Amino acid sequence: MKVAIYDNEMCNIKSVENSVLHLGFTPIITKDCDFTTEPTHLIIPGVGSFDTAMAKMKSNGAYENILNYIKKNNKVLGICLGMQLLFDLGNEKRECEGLGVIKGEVVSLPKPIKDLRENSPNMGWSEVNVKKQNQILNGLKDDDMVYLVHSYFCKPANNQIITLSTKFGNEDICIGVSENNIHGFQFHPEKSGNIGLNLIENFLKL
Amino acid sequence: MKPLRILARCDIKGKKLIKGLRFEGVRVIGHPWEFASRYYERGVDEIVYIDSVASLYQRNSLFELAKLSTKNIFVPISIGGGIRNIKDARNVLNSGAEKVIVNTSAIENPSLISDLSKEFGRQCVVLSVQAKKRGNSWEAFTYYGRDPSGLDVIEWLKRAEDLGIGEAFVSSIDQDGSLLGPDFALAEATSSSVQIPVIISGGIATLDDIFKLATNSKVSGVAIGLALHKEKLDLQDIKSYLVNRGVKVRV
Repeated sequence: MKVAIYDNEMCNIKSVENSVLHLGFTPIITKDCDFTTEPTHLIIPGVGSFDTAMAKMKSNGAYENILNYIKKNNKVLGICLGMQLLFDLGNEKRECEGLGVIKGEVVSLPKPIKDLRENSPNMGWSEVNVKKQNQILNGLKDDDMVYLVHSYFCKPANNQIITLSTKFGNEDICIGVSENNIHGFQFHPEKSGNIGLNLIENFLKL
Repeated sequence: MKPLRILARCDIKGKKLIKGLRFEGVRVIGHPWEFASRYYERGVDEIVYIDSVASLYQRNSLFELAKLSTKNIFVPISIGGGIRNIKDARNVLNSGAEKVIVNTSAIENPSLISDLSKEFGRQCVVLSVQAKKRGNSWEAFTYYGRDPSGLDVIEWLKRAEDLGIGEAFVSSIDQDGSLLGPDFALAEATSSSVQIPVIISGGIATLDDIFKLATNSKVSGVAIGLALHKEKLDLQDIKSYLVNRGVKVRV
C-alpha cells in the first residue's frame, strides 16, 4: 500500500503527516498529485478558504489529477476543507465550484446558540452522532468527541451518505460522509486524540 | 451543550518553558515539549505556545517546537509570538500548528487580521488580548504585556471580530502567574461581547476557579499555565470535578 497526502501549501500538512507516521505508514507528500505510481490511499487535508484552495488546485494540475485518481475508484479521505472540496459547490465568500465528486453544497453554519457554549466559527470538541456505521468508523460510538474548526459545513444532496452528524444551532449538521471510495470528515481526526488516530488507521486499512 | 475546553498554556523564552508574574520576572520551568506531552497524556484539549520575546526581538523560535510537538501530540496546538505576516503564519501552520495567535502586530497593523483571515480562513486566526484593568474597563497591551496600546479591550475585540479573527485568547495581566484566581469580570465582559469563542487565562489556580468560569461566563475554554506546571492542578482531576458538577468536558 502507498499513502499520499495532498499539500496545497496552505494547511496543516504536518500534523496529518505525523499522524500517518505515528500509525506506522510513510506517506508521500504531493503538491500536484501527479503520481508515477498511484497511491492506494489519498488524504486531502485542509485549512483555508474554499475558493483559494480551488484556485490553488487548478493552478498546477492537481485538480485534474485528483479527479482522475478518484474516478478510477481509488480511496480518498477529505479532512475539514478537504472534505468540503469534494462537493459540487462552495459558498464561502463567493460561489465556487469544487471537485464535484459528491453531490451537494457547502453552506455556512446555522446561528450558534450561545447558551449552549456554541460559537461561529465552531471551534472545539463536539459529540458525534453515528448515523451509519461502516468500516472507517470501527470503534467510534455515539457521544465520542472530535475536534472541529469550521464556519461552513457540507450538505450532501443524498442524506444516505451521511455517516456522522453533530448538533449545532437548531440543526443536526453533517460531519462525516462515505460514498463508495470517497470519505470525508469535517472534523480533524489528526487533532482528535486517540479517537481520531483510530479513524485514520481505519481508513488506511480499507 | 458544547464541552468547556481545557487548554494548557505554555509560555516560551528561547527553548525553555517559562512563567513570570504579571508577564514579568520570568523563571525557567523546563522543556516545553516534555510538559506539553505530559498534558496530552493527561487529557488536555489543546496546547498553546506563546513566545514571550518574539515580538520584541522580531524572531520566531517556535517552529521547531511545533514540529517536535506534533509528532506525538494529537490535539490542537496554537502558536503565538512574533507572527508579523502571512509568511510567518504559513510557517506556523506548516509546522503542524492548528491556529496562529496574533497580538502586537495586529494592534500595530489591524489589516494583518483580515489578510490572515482571507488567506487561511478565520478559524485559524486567534487574537491574543493582554488585558490590564483600568477602573471599570481594561486596556490592551502589546509586546507580552509591556506596552499599553491605548485600546479598550472590548472595543478592540469587537473590531478584531469584524476584521476576521476566529477566536480570542484573553489574558489578564493583573492575574497572570499569580495563582490568585482569574479576572471573572474580564471573562464575563469579553465572552458576552462577541460571537467568536473566548478563551480566558491568567490566575487560574483551583478547581472552583474553573467551575465558576464555566458557569458564570460564556467562555469557551480556560487556559491554565502555572497551576499545571507546578502540579497544583491535574487535568484529570479538573475534568472529573467538572463532570461531577454537571459541566460538560471531553473525557
